[in-house]
Amino acid sequence: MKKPLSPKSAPEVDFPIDRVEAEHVSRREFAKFICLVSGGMMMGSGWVAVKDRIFPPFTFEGERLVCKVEDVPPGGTYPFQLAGSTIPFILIHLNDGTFRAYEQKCTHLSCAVYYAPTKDRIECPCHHGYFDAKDGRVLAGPPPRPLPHLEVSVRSGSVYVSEPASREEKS
Amino acid sequence: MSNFRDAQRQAHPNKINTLSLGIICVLILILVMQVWLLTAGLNESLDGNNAVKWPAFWGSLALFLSGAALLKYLPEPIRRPISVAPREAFKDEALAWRTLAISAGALTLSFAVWFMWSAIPLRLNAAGFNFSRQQLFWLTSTPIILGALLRIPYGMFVSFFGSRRSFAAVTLALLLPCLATAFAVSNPTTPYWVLIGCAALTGIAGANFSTSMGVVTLWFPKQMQGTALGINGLGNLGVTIAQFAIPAVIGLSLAGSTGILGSMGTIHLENAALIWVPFILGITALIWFGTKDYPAEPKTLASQLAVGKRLHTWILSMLYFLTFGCFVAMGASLPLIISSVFSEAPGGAPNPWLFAPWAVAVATLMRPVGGWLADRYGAGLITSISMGLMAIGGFSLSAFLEPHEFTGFFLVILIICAASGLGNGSVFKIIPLVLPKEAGAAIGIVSCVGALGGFTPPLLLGWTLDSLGSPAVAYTGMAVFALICLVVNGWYYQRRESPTCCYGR
Repeated sequence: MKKPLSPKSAPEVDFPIDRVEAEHVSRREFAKFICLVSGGMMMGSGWVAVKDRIFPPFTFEGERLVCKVEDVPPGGTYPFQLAGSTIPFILIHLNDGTFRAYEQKCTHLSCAVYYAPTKDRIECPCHHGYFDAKDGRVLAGPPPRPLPHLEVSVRSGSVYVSEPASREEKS
Repeated sequence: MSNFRDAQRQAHPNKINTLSLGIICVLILILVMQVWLLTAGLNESLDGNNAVKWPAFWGSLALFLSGAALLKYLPEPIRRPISVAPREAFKDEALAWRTLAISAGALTLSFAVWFMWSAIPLRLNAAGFNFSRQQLFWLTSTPIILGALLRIPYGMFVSFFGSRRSFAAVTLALLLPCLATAFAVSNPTTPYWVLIGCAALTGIAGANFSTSMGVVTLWFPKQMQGTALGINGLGNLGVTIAQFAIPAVIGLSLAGSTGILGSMGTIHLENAALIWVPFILGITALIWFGTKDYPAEPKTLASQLAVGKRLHTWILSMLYFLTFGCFVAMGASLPLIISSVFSEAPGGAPNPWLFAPWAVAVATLMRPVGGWLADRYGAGLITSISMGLMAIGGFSLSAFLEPHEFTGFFLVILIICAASGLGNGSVFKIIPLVLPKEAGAAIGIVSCVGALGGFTPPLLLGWTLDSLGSPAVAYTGMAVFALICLVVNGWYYQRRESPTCCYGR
């Protein structure tokens, strides 16, 4: 039996829609798409609202041992993590002899920050954000808020950290 | 069954649906407020201030719900079938391409002959004549004006006498101006009115353009006509060929030395006309033996004259007036502008003759590109792009009219020229698409207006330069005109709802 020859090519038979019609976006479709994005915005706001409920931020009780004083020379840095969390912290031995502990994530886009001992500030290499090494406030650059810090206490040659009092109030 | 909606649709088929536009605007407003709520909530909660995040969420939810409710009021879609230009069969491919090649050659020759009289007057006084500046100016312009006007009847020839016969005849007719000019300029006692007559006769060479375009239109299917007409438009290069060839040959002694025509010292002006004779004979033979008459019914004069009543003839004339006029104005008046505005450029004034040919070359070479793009993506879109570029370029040119800005000025000029070449190609694609029955006659009218367009802007530029001291006004005027053309083109040839929308492949 002879098959009648189709004047159209195989793709045209399988997908019988003209190109202009396939690319055509009507105003109805556009309006519906805007509404879909609007729903996405609503979901985003909802996520912001419930995020702390579902994943409560890491807190700990009491003091935790970080290291010995002689492990960190003045101007030096000691990276550490606390048991039960993956947030990276750095312990900084300032030139004036005191210790500070900060989260190592830049508040702008979470790049790893480092301590520049000669200028006595904490720098973010990604977008040139600068923080004061003494209290973590923003000196310059894009970061919107100061670096989160931990309270540091030195007793009998050992360095301990604890939750700062202010963070308890907020959450 | 009919209802109010159907009746409305029939009464106003192109009515813009205000309701859906309004709903879209409100939805966008809602979206913007939600973006603000989200960023504000996020920022505050990262700062540790948790008082904002829940109100932000409830606000966002309310906005989303109201937006979703608005969707209910979206009007029902009007199902208008999207028309797609049907692909036509390409009947005789080999013959069509051969016709195109021969036609492009013939057109190149015609342009070369046409511009013979732009080179000859410059040297007439050196060859023993004695004419004033004004007389020489008219010797140059007569063939251009007449060539433009003759394009209208020439465009109709094709549909009366068949493509081969009419095309061969008009090409062979080029012998008349060439021989007449050769005899006239070889004798310095020739009176001025004879020279004007020769120049007028040369006008028929310019009219060949519409015959040639009309022939090419016949042989190619709709979806390839932009490319074909664009390639045929490469015949504009004949002008460049004439500009280079004529100064070279008038120093040679061909026929002049034999004494038949009488020689005038070392300048053999008759050579400027005589060199084209062998080419005319050869191309006529090629047309006669290489092409065929397109099998079509001869049309009546009345049906062709009806093209003058069509709105689209005049719209397309306006568009082509812009694109072609821009091309000529930029190319022809560039030396004038360079010498008057940039004479104090740092590092010496740029040599106008070094830069001017580039502008013309870019525009000519962009013409087939424009035709091809118009075939591929739709002539309306490409014409809009071209006119948008010309408008932007025209507005920005005024910023570059300082002596130290020559590089920027020349770049903008090149962009405008490229855009006008693009527009030339795609406007010509529209003609056979919207006026298929009277394409020949329409090409005649449109190219006539275009050629006149090439004639007026340089005068306008010169006038603003003389009376206002700066060409900025003329450039801005051009840009405004380009904007008007952009709107008109968008309305008729790009809008999907338009019955004459030009789609791509």
